[in-house]
Amino acid sequence: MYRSFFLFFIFLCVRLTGQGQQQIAGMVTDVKGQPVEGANIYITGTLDGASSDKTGKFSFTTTQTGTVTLGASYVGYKDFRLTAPVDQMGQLKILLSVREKALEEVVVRASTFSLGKSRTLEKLDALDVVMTGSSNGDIYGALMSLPGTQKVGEDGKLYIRGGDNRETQTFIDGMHVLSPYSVTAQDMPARGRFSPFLFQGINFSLGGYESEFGQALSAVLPMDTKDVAGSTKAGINFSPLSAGGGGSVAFRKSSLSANVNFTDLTLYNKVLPDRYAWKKPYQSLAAEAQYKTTVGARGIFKLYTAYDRTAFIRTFADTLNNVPERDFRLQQDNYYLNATLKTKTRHNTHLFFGAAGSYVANRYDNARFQRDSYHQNEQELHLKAKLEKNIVPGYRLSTGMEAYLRGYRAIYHDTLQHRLQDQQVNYQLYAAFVDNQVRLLPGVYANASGRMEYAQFSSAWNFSPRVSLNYLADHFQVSAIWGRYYQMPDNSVLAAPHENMQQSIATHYILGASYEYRGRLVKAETYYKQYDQLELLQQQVYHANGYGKSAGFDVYFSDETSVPHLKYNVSYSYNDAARLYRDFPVMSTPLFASRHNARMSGKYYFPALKTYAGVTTTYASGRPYRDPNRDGYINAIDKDYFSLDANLTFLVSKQVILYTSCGNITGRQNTYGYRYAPLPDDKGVYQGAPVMASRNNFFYIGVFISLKSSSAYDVSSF
Amino acid sequence: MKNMFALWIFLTMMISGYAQNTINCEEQLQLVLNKVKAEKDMSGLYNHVNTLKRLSGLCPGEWLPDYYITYLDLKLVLSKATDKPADLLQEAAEKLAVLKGNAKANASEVCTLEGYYYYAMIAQDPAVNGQKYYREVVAGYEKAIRLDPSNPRPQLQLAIFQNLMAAFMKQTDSGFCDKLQTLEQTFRDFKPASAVAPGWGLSELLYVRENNCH
Repeated sequence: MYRSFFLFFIFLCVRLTGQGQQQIAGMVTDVKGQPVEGANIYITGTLDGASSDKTGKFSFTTTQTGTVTLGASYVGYKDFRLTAPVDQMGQLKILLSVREKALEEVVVRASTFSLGKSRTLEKLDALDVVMTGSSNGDIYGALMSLPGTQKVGEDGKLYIRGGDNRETQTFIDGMHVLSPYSVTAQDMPARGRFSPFLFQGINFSLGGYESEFGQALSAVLPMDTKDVAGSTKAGINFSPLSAGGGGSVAFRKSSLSANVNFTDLTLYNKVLPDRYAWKKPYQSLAAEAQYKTTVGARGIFKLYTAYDRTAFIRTFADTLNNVPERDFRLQQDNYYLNATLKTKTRHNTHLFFGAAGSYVANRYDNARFQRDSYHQNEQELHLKAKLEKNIVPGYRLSTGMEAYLRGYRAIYHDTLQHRLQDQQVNYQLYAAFVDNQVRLLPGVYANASGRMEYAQFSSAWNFSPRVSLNYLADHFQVSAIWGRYYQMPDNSVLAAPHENMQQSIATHYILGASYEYRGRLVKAETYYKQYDQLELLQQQVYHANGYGKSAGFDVYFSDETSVPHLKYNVSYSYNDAARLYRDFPVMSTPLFASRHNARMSGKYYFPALKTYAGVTTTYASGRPYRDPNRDGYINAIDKDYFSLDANLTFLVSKQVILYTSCGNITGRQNTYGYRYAPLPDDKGVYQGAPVMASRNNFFYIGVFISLKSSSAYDVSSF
Repeated sequence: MKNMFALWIFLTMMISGYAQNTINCEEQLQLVLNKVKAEKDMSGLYNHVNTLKRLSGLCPGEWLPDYYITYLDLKLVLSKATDKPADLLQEAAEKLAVLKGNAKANASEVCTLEGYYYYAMIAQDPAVNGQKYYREVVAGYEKAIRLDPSNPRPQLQLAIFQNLMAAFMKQTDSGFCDKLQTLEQTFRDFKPASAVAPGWGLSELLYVRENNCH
């Protein structure tokens, strides 16, 4: 009996001893010795813990005994762990060090402009695109206010750092778009086909981009569409030149969105005629739709399709080439389909599968003479699979493969409907890429990647290496990038007589630095691009013997915070480019390259007027051109370009927006070089005419109405 | 026999000791929420958020601790009771990402929090962020309502946000007070799934009504 009670007494003592309380106390500071307020200090595996106060001090009691593990954590800092006897934790000094960003969170600013960050909860402000003074609601127009771009007013496409427009490629959700621009008449600037409101993230890289993006010699424009729409909505818009509407229907885990716009310049041309004579003014129908659905807890599937039909008939005579008046008729049908699946496994492996198809059919009637015709169609199928994973905390691997299947055909019938030309080309291109992102030291990141391509057209393997080294501090970044990129020559070149054609090469060398502080960003970058294997016409046959270079620097300053309601940016770009390609007989500055480009863009909100105003000024030094009346090849410089563009956005009511814009307010007659007759006149002079846009100014006024009472200022159908 | 009695006592105590060390998540959560309700000082919420974080670590896969961490972080941000709103917003964003990937979580409540998160973002700098995030606020609440039409919280938050938007446009939301009247009944009809399931909002409704509807 006594023995039993003794035993019971011992057990009771053991239990009561277990309930004895130990005090844990100390102070939490960061590496600079500053107290960290609000840190969570606790015994792991228990609820025992406390928060640090303003002075970083904390204290709490625990019933734990023996050796325990103490944890301390605060957002943005590395978790702290200490394993020790609990009775030795009476006066702790806990030092929290700043947590290195996960590799997928690291944003390198070098050579890239991001409008919205699709990796985080921060979303693209599509209105920023629309409200850029020079954009006219066009993504490409807005991007032209950034450094590194060059003003080529007669076609409106993106020309980057001395590169041709086809050296910049557009990707939607990682998949290639064969023809991202609308088609226009000669010397009328093209616009992008896609609404800025379709996208939640636009990352514009002006060089040195990741190996995932091949087949682009100068720049890439990857854009990510929005995720599943959260709400059902609808809207309409109309203006003197267009009308449209669309909306989204949201389901439990998916959404279906559609948008249609019809543009007709008939009325506009009557009120504000341009220099051209139109038999049937420019008309276009643009329709797009997207279905998005979540797949499990971590995946999303998107199916996007777009169709554009553009048509017009312009009556004109080519007096320089002695071509009589004709009714030039153009009709384009442009189809695009894109399906992607993104998902993440339980082990945080990101998987991506995508397929995209493009088909563009152009029909030109009375192309060179009345009653002739020229038909051209291009198609592309792009397939891609990609895997991304953080292998260890300091190493992230991204790898994948893709295939391009392309076709092209061009047929010309003369005025008697004889088939004088029938060119056709089909080829495939296969690629595999590996991208290794490594954290070498705190704040020092390296990227080594490679892309192997097999071009069936030339039966050649090509390897594109890329290396970058980045130092990223809190506000300051400096980067050095070297990369080699390949791109197939244009289909029209491949379909023409050629010999030993190879993929063109551009090797990029980029050194850049940036400083960002409280909404202000300063960037400076210098670059050098070496071109090789460019297409060169020699004795009417294309060879891959061309070459070239482009060097320069860009500086950029933006500020969102100094003046309330004002966002502005200023940039300057210097470029020195020369190349021997196409029909150039000697190495020359390409016709699209201007040496100096400067831009200033600002957006201001007037709260009392409920109005946003956007203003952009653009300056470009004169572009080179060839004057056959002078010696030499590219032997003349055109006058400087200047444009002042503005827009106003009035929030008329919660559901009505009035948007107005004006391009080239001053009405300056900008010219883009000169065209000359192929033969001299009887006085021995080559007659010429300046290349000019069809109109000096462009005015737009449109009304956007949201049809749902709960949504406000929402002009997006997606 | 006596030895058996002693052994029984010993085992009982050991088992009860084990039970003490094993967390009953719901009970513990209830205790924390009771303390949160009793807390008079907004800055005191910090301690409860940290307790919830410890509870979250002890209850893997449970969505409610993460839900309340996010909700309280956002309340702290909106009450201006913190001088580190960016840290709390970052933490809220991280927890929201976790909640969205948790199949156990009530999707309607998570969508409500997402709308609330963007509302807190707008509150940081209405002139800049209002234009950026208003669509996400509306979309979050509307999706929450679609997922559970009986959930009164997204309905209340959407009504409040629309009323603020109307004020921004120097207009009045004429149906606001009627909406609040209807919503009060919706709140009273709403039956939370458990004692610790989200049930907040009614006191905010009454406060807003008192200040806006006479």
